[in-house]
Amino acid sequence: MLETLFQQQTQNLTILVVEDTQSERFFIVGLLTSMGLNVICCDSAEQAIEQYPKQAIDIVISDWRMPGLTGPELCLHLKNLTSPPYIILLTANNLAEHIVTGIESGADDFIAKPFIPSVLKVRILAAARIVNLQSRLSDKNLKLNDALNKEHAYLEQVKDDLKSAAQLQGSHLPSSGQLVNRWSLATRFKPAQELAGDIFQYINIDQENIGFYLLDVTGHGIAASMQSFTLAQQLSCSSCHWESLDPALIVNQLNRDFEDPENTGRFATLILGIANTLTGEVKLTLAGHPQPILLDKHGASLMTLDAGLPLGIDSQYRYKNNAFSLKSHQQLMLYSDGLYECRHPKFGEFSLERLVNTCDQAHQLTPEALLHHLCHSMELWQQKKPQDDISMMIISAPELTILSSLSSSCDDADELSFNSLKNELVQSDLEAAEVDILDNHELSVALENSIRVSYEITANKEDVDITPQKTLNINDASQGIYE
Amino acid sequence: MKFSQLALSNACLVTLPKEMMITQTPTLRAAITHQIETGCNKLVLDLHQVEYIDSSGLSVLVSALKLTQKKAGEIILLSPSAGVRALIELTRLHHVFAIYEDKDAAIAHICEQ
Repeated sequence: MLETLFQQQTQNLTILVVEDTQSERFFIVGLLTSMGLNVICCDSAEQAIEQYPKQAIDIVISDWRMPGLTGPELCLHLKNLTSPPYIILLTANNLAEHIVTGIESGADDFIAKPFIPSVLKVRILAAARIVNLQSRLSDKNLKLNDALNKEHAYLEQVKDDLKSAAQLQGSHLPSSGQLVNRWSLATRFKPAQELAGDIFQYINIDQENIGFYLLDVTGHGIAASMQSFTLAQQLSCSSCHWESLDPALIVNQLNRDFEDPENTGRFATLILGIANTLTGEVKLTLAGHPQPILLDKHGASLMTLDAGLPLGIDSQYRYKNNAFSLKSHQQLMLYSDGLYECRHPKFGEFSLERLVNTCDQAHQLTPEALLHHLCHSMELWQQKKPQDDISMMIISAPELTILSSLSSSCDDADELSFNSLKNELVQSDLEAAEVDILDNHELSVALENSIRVSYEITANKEDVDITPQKTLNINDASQGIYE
Repeated sequence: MKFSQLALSNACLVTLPKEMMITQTPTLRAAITHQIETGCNKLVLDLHQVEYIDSSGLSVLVSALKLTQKKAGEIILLSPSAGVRALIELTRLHHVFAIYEDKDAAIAHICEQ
């Protein structure tokens, strides 16, 4: 029994015997050979050190006292190598201090001389068990490392794919610019991860009418963005009845086709509208989406439109249209919930109320500058750790001649000088910052700075859209103050 | 999250945790789905501890609603905090969920045969 076990365990193992006394060396080598082991021998530690790297040696049996390097010194040397052997030291006595020195130098076992051959045999068996275990472990480690490297390469591949998908997604979104009949559009998009569940778009329906929508699929990441891509595809001009000029009809259709195959309860909120660019008449349908914000020369307010269920809750639901008119120079702001749901670790959610207040205080900014200001405020609020996708879209009506009689005579406001406006703005924002943000001095300074910078862009560039380069510099400057 | 069996064998009170955000939702959804799939088709979802919920948290409620409807069951939401209720109302989901403020009444309703 022991014999078979011994042979199983020790096959393929090589033992190096280091012993300066020739008779002892012959004796041990003879014993080991008779046990069927592969044996090499050296007569000094120095020779062993030279021999060791040349062959695959699993176990070293070394005498303690030798001229030149001693057994423990040999131990120290071998145990410092990258693949050290199992070491058994032979000692002439069983003194406790010997054992301590031996273990400290890295020996794995001791045999006191003179020894009985059967004791040597079981000690070698014990050594073989450990050597074999180690080699199995290192094999497994090698395989694990191999697998890890493959996974790592795969992950890199996925990351690259995600990055290019995100670029594709970003490139499909409309950027700020002029629409038909001097209407204009300003947009911002900040995905929380590479891919977003938000998507927004505008469509030129005909010479007069523009369509627009902003939708937000629950969650973010790949599944959400695939869903929002699908919805956007269905809303793309060719496959959608924009020419009906009936938002509710379009939303009903979209809701009927909404799929949630995994039954994750995924749903989407949507705001979809059609505006007549000559008359300013707007028809809007809301599906579980936050109310749009109406901006004009007097301030900002949350609209109170009739809203239906989100898409994907009830396929038979019938959505309604809300009809109203955008007057000259009024602006409609659409946004996703990520904008006001973001949380500050101490002050909690940004909240819809604070969003409306922020817009109200900064309503004199150009749309582009306002979006810049909001983005910056959000970044500060989230402490630069994006929590959800943020998308915003401001649609601005120009001077509408047809409805000019309806628009109030508030052109006087243009006459206000820049300085008085600026003072008023900074003052009100300071107050707001104190009330809203309580004792967080850094945040209030940064917010104040942001609104002032945003305002200065407007003033200096006289309502011309800011260039990306400019945005970047100003961003850096205001962030610098915060940090 | 805690599941407590109610008097009716297929009814259960589910106490939802403080946060129902995107990082927790897969686990929450899996646990509730498992509960419904294993025969418990009448649930009271107790929201009184929930302080933070986002739209993916709401999707957990929606998936539970749809699944119980498929299994001829029922869902009741119990005691949402003002913030959670505001989000439910903003997304108009209060039109599809029964929302109770009183625990005993909610349990009595769900246990009606």
